[in-house]
Amino acid sequence: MSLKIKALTLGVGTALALSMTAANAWEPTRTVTFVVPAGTGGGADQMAREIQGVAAKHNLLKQPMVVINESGGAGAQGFLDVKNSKGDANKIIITLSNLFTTPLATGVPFSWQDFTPVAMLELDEFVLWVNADTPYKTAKEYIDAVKSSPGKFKMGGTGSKQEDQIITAAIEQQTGAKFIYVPYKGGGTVNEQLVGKHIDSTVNNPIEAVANWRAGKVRPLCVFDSERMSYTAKITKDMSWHDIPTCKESGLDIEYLMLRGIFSSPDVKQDAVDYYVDLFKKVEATPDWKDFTEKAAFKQTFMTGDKFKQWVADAAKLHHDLMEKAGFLAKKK
Amino acid sequence: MSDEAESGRSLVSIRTMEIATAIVIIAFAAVVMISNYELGAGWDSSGPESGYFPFYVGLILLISGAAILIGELTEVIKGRPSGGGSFVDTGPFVQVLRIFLPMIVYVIGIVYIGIYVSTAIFIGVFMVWLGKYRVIVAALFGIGIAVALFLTFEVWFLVPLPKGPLEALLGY
Amino acid sequence: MDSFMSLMQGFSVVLVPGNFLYMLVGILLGVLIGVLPGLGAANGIAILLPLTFGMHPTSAIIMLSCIYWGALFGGAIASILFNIPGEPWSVATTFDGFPLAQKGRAGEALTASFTSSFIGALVAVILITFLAPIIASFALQFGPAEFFSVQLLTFCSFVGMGKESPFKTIASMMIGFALAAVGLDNVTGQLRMTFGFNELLNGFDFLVAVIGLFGIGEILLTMEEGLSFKGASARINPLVVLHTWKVLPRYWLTSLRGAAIGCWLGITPGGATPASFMSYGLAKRFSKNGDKFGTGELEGVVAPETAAHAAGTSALLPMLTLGIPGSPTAAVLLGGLLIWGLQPGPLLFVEQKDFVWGTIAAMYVGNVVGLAVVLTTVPLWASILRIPFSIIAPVIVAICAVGAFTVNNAMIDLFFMLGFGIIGYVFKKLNYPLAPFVLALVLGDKAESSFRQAMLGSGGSLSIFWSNWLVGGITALSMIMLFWPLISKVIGMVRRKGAHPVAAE
Repeated sequence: MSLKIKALTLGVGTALALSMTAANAWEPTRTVTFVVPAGTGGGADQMAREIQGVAAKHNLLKQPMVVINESGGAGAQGFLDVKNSKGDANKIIITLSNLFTTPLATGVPFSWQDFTPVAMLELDEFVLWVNADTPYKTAKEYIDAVKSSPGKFKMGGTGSKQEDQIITAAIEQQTGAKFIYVPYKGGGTVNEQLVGKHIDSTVNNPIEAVANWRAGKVRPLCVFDSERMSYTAKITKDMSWHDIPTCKESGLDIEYLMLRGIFSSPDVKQDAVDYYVDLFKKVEATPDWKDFTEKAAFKQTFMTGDKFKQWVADAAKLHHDLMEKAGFLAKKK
Repeated sequence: MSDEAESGRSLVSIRTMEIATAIVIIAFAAVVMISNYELGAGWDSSGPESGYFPFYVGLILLISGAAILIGELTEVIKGRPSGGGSFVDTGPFVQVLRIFLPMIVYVIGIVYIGIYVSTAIFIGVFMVWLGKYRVIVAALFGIGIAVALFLTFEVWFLVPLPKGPLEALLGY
Repeated sequence: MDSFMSLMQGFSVVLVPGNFLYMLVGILLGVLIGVLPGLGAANGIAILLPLTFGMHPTSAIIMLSCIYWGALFGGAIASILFNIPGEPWSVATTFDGFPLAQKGRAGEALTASFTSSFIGALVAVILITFLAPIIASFALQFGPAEFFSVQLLTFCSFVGMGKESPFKTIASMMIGFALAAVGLDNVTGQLRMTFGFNELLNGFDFLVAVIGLFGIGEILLTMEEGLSFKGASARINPLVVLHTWKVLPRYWLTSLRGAAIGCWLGITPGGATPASFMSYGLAKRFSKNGDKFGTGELEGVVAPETAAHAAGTSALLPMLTLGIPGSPTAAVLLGGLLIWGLQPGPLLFVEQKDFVWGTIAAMYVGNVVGLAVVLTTVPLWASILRIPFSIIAPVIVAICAVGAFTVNNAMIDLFFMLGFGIIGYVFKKLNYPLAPFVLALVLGDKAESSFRQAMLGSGGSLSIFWSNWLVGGITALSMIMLFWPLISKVIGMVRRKGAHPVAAE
């Protein structure tokens, strides 16, 4: 613990020292390219475009910012692109869990250490959803039902060997329940399939399912976090995000949060990182952003510097462990 | 358009091309089959494995490629080695190369000097070389198109296209 | 009647000068986006989304949805003039549109395409206006097995169409399937046929292939035949629109069928591209002139365009009512709704009446405005063909390059484009049909994922494909379509036996 604090103060110290010595701070020298390693319309894409919009509306950036989608190979294309533009501080990338999962599952050569960490913007929650017509009111009831007829319940999720399937595997490992995992292309489709009863449950992010929750089509059972979500405004007639119990409360001790963070190219100097940190602080201070995070029920956790690095390192290890246990690692050649 | 191509002799017959294409298809099919067989082309409890469909796609491709090849070879054995006429004559082939080779240079140019400069040069050279336009007209037109592309994509739609040293000089 | 009153309310929201202006801007931008290959409607809207940040949500969606209409209209332009499909759903339009242009009838082809697009959209909007809640729930019936059966139906209504050697047709289709499988396998997350090259992670994009096969391939063929586009010298008649309109009513059945297919595939997220192929395939099969398809039949332009535009329009319905995007473009618009502070989904119709009915009203007005705009430009587009080849050829190559690059922002796609250009040239000269190739490429991986998702659900049992009336019905229909040539022969024989030698052809 004390070691961590030491590291932290050290980090702050160097950051301070640097910001003081940097007399003329770095600014983007040309158009800032904002890479989204996922398709248009997904969660990461929405967030990137929200940032672009907020920055443009409030004039936070002197240079234009362009968002490009490089979704090939579960995002590998985008990550490799940024990895290959060494030292280019005009390029940033927004990450989702595929920063960890894609290289582990496919063996494509990149890792978080290749990039310059900038900041964690938010963490995205995962909620266990079932169709509202089913009788299950708690996670325990549902898991018990799954256990009593193994291999009959279908869990839908986005992609293969990515976050949704990792959570599914974690549930299986912990409870001994057995799901059929059905991978789909995007969270929207997964949610639709749940409403149409083609699958029995999902671990969708709040934003992907909220519309149908309000309309009474799906029911949240628990959130995969150590604490309940902080939003207390009523979403349906009688429930707010805060009213959803944690999975731990229901005896399912699993936590999983998805990183919505920003990285830049390899070997980017500290003054450029500072510039972006400052930019994202400004973005997060706008009312537009507050609206956006509330709608998506993100866990607000702005993190930078060594603290962020430590978080990412821990998350990378966690993913490796989870995926190893589930047998999702790419075969070594 | 002074240099209308004269037809010239047949460069390669349709039969030869048919056979060559069939062989390429068979080779491609073999690659597809081998690589997917290694991946796992079975059918387990969760349905077909990753390589299942591509493997059989490869197999069907192999069969149809072989069928085409056999069909052509029987024609050859029957003593009609150059049946079906000419695939391409020398003259027209030179014509095709006249645009295809510049295209290759153009694409390589995009990688190194960016799409805008390459486009201006490509259009300009093509107009002078094949259209016999005056250099000044061609240059203006080429640069005009490049600038129009630049404005449309880079400035209005904010879509970054490949750029080279010139654009970097201009601060893009 | 309730819908009608709400719609009138919607019109009053839309028809204010400011919104009208946004509409015009949207249409013009959309046409531009549609014409340029690669810069698809989804990308175009995503790019412009942040600009609408400060706008009123209704104005914003009016502008963005008009971009969408514009792109749907515009996609046909490059397909007909240069054989380069500006959008995936215009590929089927090239089959007859381009031969028409070569015959000097580009004006007619353009008019037919725009008008059919309009009719398709109109049918779809009327459907949305009056049947929205009922139809929306239909979309929920579709699980993986149903999706697969729809994709199967698309294939079955399309194959066996050419006079080419059957082996060549099969080979061409299998190459498409094989290329579609390259890259990451969505179901297991394994890499297939990448051979260790990171460049192959993306696989082969359908649009890149089409730009190469059709666009570049055509340039090579044209060069070989001398330095000019066929049909370049056609006279441009400003009255071409009216002349074409006189002929179009003949194809009412094709339009109707196209609109029905389009609405169906738009609502159940099947998409405009399969809709256009299916509509073309069916039109070819059931039209009197079916065997002339591919040589420049107006009907072959009407069929895919009606379906594509109907699908594109009705894809917005599940987005509004269920919060499910029916197409990539709808997915981006969905993100837009969130950015503007609206929440799509079942409650939108209740909570945001003005917005919803304004949007629907904008669909009507936007399409009328769009049609007027694009029709007036027909002579202009047709006259592009008169530009000397030595100028237009390099420009087309440049546009192809831009298109191929923007699809994935990947340099390697430019080289793939050249490769596909050679394949297109050789295949065309050797009479390998290209249509099955592109259909397999565009639907291959989707069909495979749906199939395997269905298999995961059923535990590897094929019986899932006739487990309920919906999936069973579609599967049966596919089989009928596949064996249609045989069936129609049998029917013909039975008929001839029954009622003696009437009109033997």
